Amino acid sequence: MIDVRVAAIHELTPVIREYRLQAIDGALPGFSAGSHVQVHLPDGRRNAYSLLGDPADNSEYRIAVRHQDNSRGGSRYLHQVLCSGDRLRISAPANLFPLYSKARQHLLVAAGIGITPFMAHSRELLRRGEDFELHYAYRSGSSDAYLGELRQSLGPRLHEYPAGIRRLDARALLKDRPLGAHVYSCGPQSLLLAIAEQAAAQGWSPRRVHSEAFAAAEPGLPFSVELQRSGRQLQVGAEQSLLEALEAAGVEIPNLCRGGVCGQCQTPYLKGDVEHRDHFLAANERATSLMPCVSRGCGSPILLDI
Amino acid sequence: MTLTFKPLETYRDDFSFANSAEAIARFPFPFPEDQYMYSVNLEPATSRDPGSVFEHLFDVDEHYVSEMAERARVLELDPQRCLVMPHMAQAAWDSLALLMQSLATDYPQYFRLARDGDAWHWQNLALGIDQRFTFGDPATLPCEPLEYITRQMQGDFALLDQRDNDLFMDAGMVTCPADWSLRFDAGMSFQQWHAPVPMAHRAGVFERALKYLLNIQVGQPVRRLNWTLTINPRLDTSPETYHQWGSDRGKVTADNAGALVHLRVELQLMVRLPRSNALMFSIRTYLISLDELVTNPAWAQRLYRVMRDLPEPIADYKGISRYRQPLLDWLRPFDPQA
Amino acid sequence: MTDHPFSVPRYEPQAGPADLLVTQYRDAGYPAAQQLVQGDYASNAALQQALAARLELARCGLRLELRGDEAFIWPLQALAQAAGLQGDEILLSRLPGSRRVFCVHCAQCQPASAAESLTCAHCGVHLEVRRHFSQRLGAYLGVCADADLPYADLPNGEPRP
Repeated sequence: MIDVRVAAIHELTPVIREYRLQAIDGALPGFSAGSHVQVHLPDGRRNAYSLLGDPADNSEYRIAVRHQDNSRGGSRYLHQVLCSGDRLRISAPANLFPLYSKARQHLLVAAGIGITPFMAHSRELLRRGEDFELHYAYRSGSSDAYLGELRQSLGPRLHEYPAGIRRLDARALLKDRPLGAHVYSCGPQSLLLAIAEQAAAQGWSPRRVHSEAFAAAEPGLPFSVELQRSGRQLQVGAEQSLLEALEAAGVEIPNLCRGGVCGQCQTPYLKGDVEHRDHFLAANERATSLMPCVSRGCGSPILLDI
Repeated sequence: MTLTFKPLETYRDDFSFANSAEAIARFPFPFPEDQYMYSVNLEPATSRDPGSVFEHLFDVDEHYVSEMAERARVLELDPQRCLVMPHMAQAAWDSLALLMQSLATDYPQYFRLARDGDAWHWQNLALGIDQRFTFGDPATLPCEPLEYITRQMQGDFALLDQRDNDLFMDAGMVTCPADWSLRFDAGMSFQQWHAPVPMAHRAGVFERALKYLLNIQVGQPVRRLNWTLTINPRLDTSPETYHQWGSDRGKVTADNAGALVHLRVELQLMVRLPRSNALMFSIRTYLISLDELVTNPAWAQRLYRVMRDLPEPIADYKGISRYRQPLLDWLRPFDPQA
Repeated sequence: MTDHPFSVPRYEPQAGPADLLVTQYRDAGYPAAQQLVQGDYASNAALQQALAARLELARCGLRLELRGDEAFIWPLQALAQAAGLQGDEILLSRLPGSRRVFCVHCAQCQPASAAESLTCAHCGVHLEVRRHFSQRLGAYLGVCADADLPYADLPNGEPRP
């Protein structure tokens, strides 16, 4: 856990703000391109945000947050309540979206706020002098953060897809790439799916395809759980994830992405009806395990084996 | 505890290596119970027990100068004991930064680091090294950065690249291995390089260990102890030189086991490197002769019981079977219930 | 579970034809333009150069099949991976024949039969071939069979006394 101070807040677009975070004492840990941190909110929730600064510079961390109308409150708090000079707690950086060290060409594909991890990636790749392209789909004037900066630093490596003017065509993007190519996508699920489907259709090994989803818990109906070993009963609210309810009750479960991707918070259960919302567990694992960061009860109460 | 270095001692030829009473007292005896079973036994690598080998992330002890001379000798005979694949260059710099920072913080009387941006000034007073260099520019160091810093660090190092949800041994400095070859294992995945460990692939032990290691985070290193036995205080028990040392196992008798047989303990440390996202796997080796070890009666009794009950496949894998009988004959008097 | 060591290759039947076949023996079922045949080249080095040139121009999505004995396919596999192919984009069809053994003492690779021991042609140490395989070297691990008699000059394959 790291205590930081909000050193500056910049409005990048009417819906996206950048936050510069500096350590209150000591130095911030170094990080690799593609890393994220969890920001701990005053209500106990934690949201994951990509570090978008230069990995060579750990004097401060930079994150960018898009205001989500349907947010459970995280982005609203950051946008409307948090001020420059305020303190925040963040987790140490973790990387679930690293560059593939043996790739010979990197194709970075971003939509909207999905640009954030690629800000760090493109700085790293520029420094290493590696072959890469950044493909950026955005809506002018709202989800086009860092566009000017990218035009300047990347030149012809930047390929733009402004909404309503040029459509991002996954098939054309992946066509005729050299053998060492790898593709990375970050944005809505539809983008990730389109890239993965086209890569498979063109015969790419899935090992060449890397993605990071906008992973966050979605609300649902309230449900109840029981902890087998302690016999405790917990109620999970409509706006709360099971992981958050466990944390609120003082039960710490290891976790990194809080979006059903990384697999860290896998928890065994003995009975109950579960609506699995993760992208991690195999079908056969779902009979006995669930991912409390996103998955919810949907019928008879869940008995967790913890 | 003040750290002083012993006069130069050898790990080959006349084998003049020996532990002081202080080194025996801080030896990491690896058996918490009378029985030994292979286990992953990982724990967070947090500082504990001042003066012990667990106090600092990278332990420097009285043998430092001698061990560095031994490493230089091995590299002179076989320069390829250090190997860094091109895609591991950043991990090598990451390692250099971590090791220099750790040593300068933990042992300021011997190691000093001054940094001004990328202009670094490193002083190793123990080995008489004074080096100014540009961080990230290999041309400003006398050799490749991983080799440079690990010529000044006790223990072996492997750098593991993380990709495809696996770890690959793509760089390292290995001059004191317990019978494994970096040159042969380089490029292998986690399960591939563990293939020679008996029964491990059946138990699922390594699947679980891999999953754990993949999720080690920056600032949250972990460690474990592993052990084997070595004849003579020979650090370089590599397959490369096995034809020169393997026959020593036939020389053990119930009379000389105390002097010949050494317990070899590896303090294995796994650290996430911040910039490269690679995992550093360091293997710090401690040697103690049985003569030295039995000065602690509790250790002596326990070692007898562990050796007596060790399953045959593990004894074979560790190369103990050939001399287990004379070893047990030598150890038996230290177990009052035997 | 079997006791098959994890490092030792498994050769599983592969589905579907590859885009490019590199083979020890011509396959009449493949178009000539899609196969490189060992016999058409003066040396293995020349064949490897030809494959490297093809891969330099190849596009992502290519499926490569390597067909031959282990001594033939593994150096090509290493070459293909270095050219950017992923392991699962390379189909390996092993035929009976020779394999390669890496002498850990002198760091040289050499062709070998399936016998469990051989004498290193480079340094003369009598080697036991372990069930441990390096894809990078395309070879099995050879380690001194008897440290008491490292240079015992036994004929290949003869059982140890």
